[in-house]
Amino acid sequence: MSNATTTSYKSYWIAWFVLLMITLAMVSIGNKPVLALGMTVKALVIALFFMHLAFEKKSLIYSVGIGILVTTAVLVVLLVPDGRAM
Amino acid sequence: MTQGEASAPLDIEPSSFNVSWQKTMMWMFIITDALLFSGYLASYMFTRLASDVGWPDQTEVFSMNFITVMTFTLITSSATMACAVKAATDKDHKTARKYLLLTALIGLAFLGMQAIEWSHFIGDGARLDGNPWGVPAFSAYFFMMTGFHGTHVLLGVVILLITYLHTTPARLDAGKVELAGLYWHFVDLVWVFIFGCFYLL
Repeated sequence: MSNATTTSYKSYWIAWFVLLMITLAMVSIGNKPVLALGMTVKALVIALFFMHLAFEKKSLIYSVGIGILVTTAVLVVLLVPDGRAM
Repeated sequence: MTQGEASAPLDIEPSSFNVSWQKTMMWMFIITDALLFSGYLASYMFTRLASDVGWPDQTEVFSMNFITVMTFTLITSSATMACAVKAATDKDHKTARKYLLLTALIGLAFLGMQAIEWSHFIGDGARLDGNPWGVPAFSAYFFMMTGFHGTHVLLGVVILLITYLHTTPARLDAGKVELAGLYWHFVDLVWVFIFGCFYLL
């Protein structure tokens, strides 16, 4: 069923570490550019590696990827006019 | 379609995405569920934008260290879930079941922390229709968004436990573990945005 033969346990724990570091950066810096970048990169790491999207057929990558990217873009753009000055 | 074809199992032919129909439909569900959460988050952002009174400062309301630990917990459960799927795909059933159970337990830990957080928040006077920090929508959105996400986590734990109980070290369908994993990672994905937009912004 799965064609993800290129991953290893180690790669998942590297992804885990990257996610932790981005989270720490978001908490400690926390301005809008860092939040926007942090959320986007975290979402990509989870979708591409944890959910194996990177190893699927291109049609699935595009179908899911476009949906998720547009959604992410809307949420990130909404950070800009936010009421509270940062 | 003849009657013979109708009785054939659904997964006999992969979908046009070259994955099983089960997996195709799980992705369909994930996209629609993501749109639902996006609707909530966008609505939250517009409410903040339209608010005449300043939005409460979350660092004064929540313990950010505690929320960060909750986030770490969920990320860790996602990593153990990925390991479960990897082990299941490698036909290492014993390891896969171990990681499945571990993921469910870490998910329960997350839910426990969320229960503590809710208790504090309600104890401090937060209600669905108002709170001591100002804008009533602040607590209303908190309960709606984290509550809806928490329900997803709870369902995820149930799905993981069912998957665990339906397998034995001798018999384990990697496809089923993978489907449970996709859902679980999605719940983690949603938390990324709730954490970023609701707690940190």
